[in-house]
Amino acid sequence: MPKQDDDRAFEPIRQSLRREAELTASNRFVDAVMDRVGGETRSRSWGMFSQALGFQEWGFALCALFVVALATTSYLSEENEISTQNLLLSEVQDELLFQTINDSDGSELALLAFYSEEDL
Amino acid sequence: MKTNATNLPECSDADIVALVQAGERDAFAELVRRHEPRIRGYCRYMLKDVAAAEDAAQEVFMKAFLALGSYRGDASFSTWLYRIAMNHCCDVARKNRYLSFFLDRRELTPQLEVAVARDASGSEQTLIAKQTLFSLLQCLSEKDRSLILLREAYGLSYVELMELCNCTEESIRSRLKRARKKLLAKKESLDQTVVLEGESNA
Repeated sequence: MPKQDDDRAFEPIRQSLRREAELTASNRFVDAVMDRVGGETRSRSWGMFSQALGFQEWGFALCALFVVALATTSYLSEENEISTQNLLLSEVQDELLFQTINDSDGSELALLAFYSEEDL
Repeated sequence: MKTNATNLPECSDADIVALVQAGERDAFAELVRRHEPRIRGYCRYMLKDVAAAEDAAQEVFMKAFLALGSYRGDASFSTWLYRIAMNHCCDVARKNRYLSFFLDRRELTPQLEVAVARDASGSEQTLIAKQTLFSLLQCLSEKDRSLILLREAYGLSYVELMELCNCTEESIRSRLKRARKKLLAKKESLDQTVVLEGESNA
């Protein structure tokens, strides 16, 4: 019977396949899987928390972007304030220079000196 | 059902699955413990490479854990797990095949190493050496390799295979027949080296 012959011929392969089918149990493997399961559960909990807040991942990204924008604006406006103060101070210095010159050498001469310096 | 960690080994797969679905995450370790020797063995056969097989087996259990919420118990847990393993290993093996085209195209060892051993009843058995067996399986497509392993090595029934592959019994039978023929033809084409008790007699 050809079918039986085929079966008999295949038997060594079948037996060899069965011999190697099952590996020795490994506790290390179980631990590795459970570590990953633990990590996955933690990340899932975080996902559920964010969902409970009504946020998705892009929501958090948007929030982060908003905070960065706010911080940058705040920093820039502070810088601007400082430079305005500096400008005011320099105006005062101009005024002081004017007055000083005015006080020591007379108003007509001082005005002349101040404007000619500015024009140059 | 009241179950704690001490009587988990006595619980059925279905009971443990229900526990995990109810939030008892640690009970999943028992399922891994039960099925890992076979799943790791299956991945080793499918992928040949030890490290890749261990990674794949881990991935199979992770996929099972993540999909456990959708498991309804229509098929047994082991059949469901084999389905995940089959799909994952076929994907990995397919990718490896494309890579091996560029890296290493030596598929089969030219020698067929066999060992003659006696079983418990005293009758002689001719067994094929592990590496040769792994190489021999490479002549089959991923799907056929998987099918022949699940039937011949793990003893799955035709009904389970039908559930797993979503096809008719006729189709399963003809695919298995074709795969067996191909394996036999490949085996016949190799020069045989008989190894007896660790010594080789060419």
